[in-house]
Amino acid sequence: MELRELVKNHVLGNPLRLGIMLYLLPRGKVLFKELQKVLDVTPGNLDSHLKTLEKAGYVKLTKVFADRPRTAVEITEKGAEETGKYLRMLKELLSQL
Amino acid sequence: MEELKAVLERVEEKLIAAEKIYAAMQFQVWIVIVTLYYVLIGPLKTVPWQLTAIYWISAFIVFAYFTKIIWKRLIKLHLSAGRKTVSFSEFGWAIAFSWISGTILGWIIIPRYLSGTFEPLVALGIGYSIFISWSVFGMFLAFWYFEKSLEKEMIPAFLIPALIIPLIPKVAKAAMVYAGFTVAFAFGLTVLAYIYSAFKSLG
Repeated sequence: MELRELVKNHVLGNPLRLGIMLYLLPRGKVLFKELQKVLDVTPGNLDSHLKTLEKAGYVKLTKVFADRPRTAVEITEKGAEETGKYLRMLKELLSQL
Repeated sequence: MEELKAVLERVEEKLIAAEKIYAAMQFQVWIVIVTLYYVLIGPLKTVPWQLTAIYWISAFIVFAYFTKIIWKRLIKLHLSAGRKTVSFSEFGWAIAFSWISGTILGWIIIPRYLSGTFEPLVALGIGYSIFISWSVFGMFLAFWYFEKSLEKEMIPAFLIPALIIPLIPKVAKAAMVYAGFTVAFAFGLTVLAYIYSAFKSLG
């Protein structure tokens, strides 16, 4: 049952997207630049994954003024809930194996 | 497989630690607000009531602003942990009710009721201690009832200001300073307890 549920989640099924959500979960909101540095990805690649997460309602992209206008990525309540659920399913599945 | 399990456990521990640190931050904001007041009024010979009024109104606004940010993050962490037992709005209202009722009781009812028995500053000092004890205790109960989470770290923050109430009349004119520093001390202990719990959860 958990395996079927896990496979169904196309959004978090991608390791990079799961990594983004795991980084965001304890922090709440981070800058695009910080995420890019931590995950060691190109801006284009990160942007495409963030668009997928935004479309699913897992993150919110906003413009903020740091040293200059920058993009901030914020986890949504839905994103936090779904990521937590996904992690619990993964853990449950691992304990069954 | 074992490695993945260990990673998931570490993620879980980090999330619990983040929750504790956010809770500690909320108490630390209040410590900064209380102690800054004494830093500002310290060099003054007399403290104009207008300064006190403006300071505390602004302080409440700043505190509410930080609380909102911290609260939003805490809710997301609670949701990720699958703790969605009741509506968050009910939980939020219960906490708001604790602080609103604490404000009315501690800043209006108690000082008025005690003004005939004690000097005005003593009555205010007692009121302030009751305001903090009542409001934090309400918050403690809200976490317990709605979140099924016994926040032991909060105990010093409401218990110590309540315990010193009988001592306040003894310090007379320094009643507000005494009450203020007791609150700062009690909140400091709560911050320490939350930080300790955060490190403990990281193993």
